[in-house]
Amino acid sequence: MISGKVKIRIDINPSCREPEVIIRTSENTSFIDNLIITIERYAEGEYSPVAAYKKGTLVLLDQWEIWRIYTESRKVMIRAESGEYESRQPLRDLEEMLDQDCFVRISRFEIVNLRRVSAFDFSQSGTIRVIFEDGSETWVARRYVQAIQQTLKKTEAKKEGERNV
Amino acid sequence: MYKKAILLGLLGYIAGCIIGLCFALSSEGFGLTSSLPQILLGGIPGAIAMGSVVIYDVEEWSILRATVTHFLVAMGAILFGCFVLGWFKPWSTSFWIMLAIEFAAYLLIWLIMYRCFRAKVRKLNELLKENREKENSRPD
Repeated sequence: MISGKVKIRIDINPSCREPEVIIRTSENTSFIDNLIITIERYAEGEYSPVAAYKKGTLVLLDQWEIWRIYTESRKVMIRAESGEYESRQPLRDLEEMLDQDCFVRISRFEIVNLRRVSAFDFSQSGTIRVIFEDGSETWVARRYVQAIQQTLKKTEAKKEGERNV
Repeated sequence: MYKKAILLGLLGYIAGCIIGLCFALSSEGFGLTSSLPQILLGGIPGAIAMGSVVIYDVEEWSILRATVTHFLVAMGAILFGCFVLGWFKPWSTSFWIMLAIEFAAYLLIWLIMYRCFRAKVRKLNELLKENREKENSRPD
């Protein structure tokens, strides 16, 4: 499985009118997809990393590597691929700066990255749960289901549009 | 949530007063002055039953937990109307019919909500799957 390591080679060619990025890979994985999205967002000027702290040290997290952002004991926590971080920004501010196609609020306390979600589950007692790629889970508030559905529909329509271009 | 509970509680109080008035009118020897306490107290179970609808807004609670809790609260309101206001004769046939209707109503509420959200979750999974498929078939 292809994960975080990427070899970068820059070919400076005066005949090149605009920068071109070619990704050579043995297989197309979610990591490659996220890499493409990150480059696209950066090129479109939409990319904004999230400031997070680990043991007081500032780290800039790429949005695609964030799994979930949640409130715990009045602290805003970020669960990313590289571990757990703390944010000094309120959940509402983070929500505004995050990619609206990927991140969606699932309760008053939590925002998740839909790209990291493997499935939604509905229990016998009527609890809606989000299952992440690594098997970890969290619950969804019923009143946010409609918003999640709309985000997924919007993203789907966007992808369909990109395919047709 | 508190605002909503108060607003619904007020609406429930008015509805409860109307029910109290209906019971007072149907009883023998109705007089506005003598029946006024019963009418005004009738609003209490209405306020409790309606105001507690916000239980369904508790995000962490499952549909089952919210429905059972609201059922118990509403049952408490009915028992209040029964034992304090004399709406029904306790342990009479009409009392049991009332409880049976309440139970059936909540069972129906739970069933409708359960099926509705199960369908919504199924739709979410379909959309998620379609998104993945479109992502994987991105043109190179």
